[in-house]
Amino acid sequence: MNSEERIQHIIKLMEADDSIDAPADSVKWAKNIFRTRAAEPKRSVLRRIVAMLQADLAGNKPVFGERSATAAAERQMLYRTDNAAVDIRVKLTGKSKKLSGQVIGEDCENAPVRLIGDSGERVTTTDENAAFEFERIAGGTYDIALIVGDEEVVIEKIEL
Amino acid sequence: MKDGIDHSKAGGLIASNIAAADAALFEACKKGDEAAWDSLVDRYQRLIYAIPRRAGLSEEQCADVFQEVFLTFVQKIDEIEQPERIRSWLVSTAKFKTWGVIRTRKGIYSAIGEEEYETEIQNLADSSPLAESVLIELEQQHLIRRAVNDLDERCRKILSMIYLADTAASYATVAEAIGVGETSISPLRSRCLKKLEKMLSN
Repeated sequence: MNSEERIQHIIKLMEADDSIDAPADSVKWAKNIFRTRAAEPKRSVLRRIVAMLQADLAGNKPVFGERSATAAAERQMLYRTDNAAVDIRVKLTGKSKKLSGQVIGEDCENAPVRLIGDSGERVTTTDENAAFEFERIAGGTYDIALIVGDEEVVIEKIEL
Repeated sequence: MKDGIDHSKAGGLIASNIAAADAALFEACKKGDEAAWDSLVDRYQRLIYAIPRRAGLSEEQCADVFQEVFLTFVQKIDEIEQPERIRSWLVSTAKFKTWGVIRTRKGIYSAIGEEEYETEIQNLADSSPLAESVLIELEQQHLIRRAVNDLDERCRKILSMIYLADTAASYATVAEAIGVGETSISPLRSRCLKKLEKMLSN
């Protein structure tokens, strides 16, 4: 390709460029994640703690043997470790589910939360109230991993 | 050559100066430099977001993919050994994450290994939004934007207004914006394009 052809090629690419900036909050998140990492111990030295289920409250739970009973529309679970508690709520929204939660413990604001399923991993961060949510989740079995202080708290095998 | 566009290795766009600047930023990030990280995010946010968007994912899914790519980048930052290849690394990661969302959307929930994943992606039709040629074009557009950004202010303004804005500006508008006569715009535009071509050849 000579110089003129390359210029035409470049013009064509510029004119076809329909990309847009990522949303400002996503860019902010991406910048912040580096600061979170810098402030935390490296993942390799994080202690991995499996949280234990303390309570599982299913709203509208069908009575055993009840005919035409429907599955619970909303479910609330409470998990605990020695140093933290995680309140998880699962709500049916159309055909998919919404999972929201709140972490109670030290240094759990603006921390990464991973929802790990068979088909991959989704990531978000807790807000300033240490709350988080994932929308439009397909049914399946998931693990949730959160950073609380110097621990990685793992909630294993939640059936959604 | 396809669609009149050369899709061979970066379409002949080399831009080693841009790769070198990226590599320097990356090395600074590894040392914990937050400002360098911010620059790297600013440089790549548009390219990373473009991949799931081109694949037709929803705004929310695009944001999820975008965040996952940068989170994985942060997690793997100490393992990436070729800083000059971070662009390829980021594009591949965005492609994988996007394909993961598409699989789920298609109702495929089975877990597979990285190699099988790669095979699935390689088997995508040329018309797929994740086909190699599409990703190369996005990378080329990224390089061009970076190079335009590194031009002097006048050239940056001229080329951005004529070629990169949603609606191409008229010569009269560009002339007014940079404070020259309208007849000067055509030769100035040509000179700026030559500068840009040169930058992308080094």
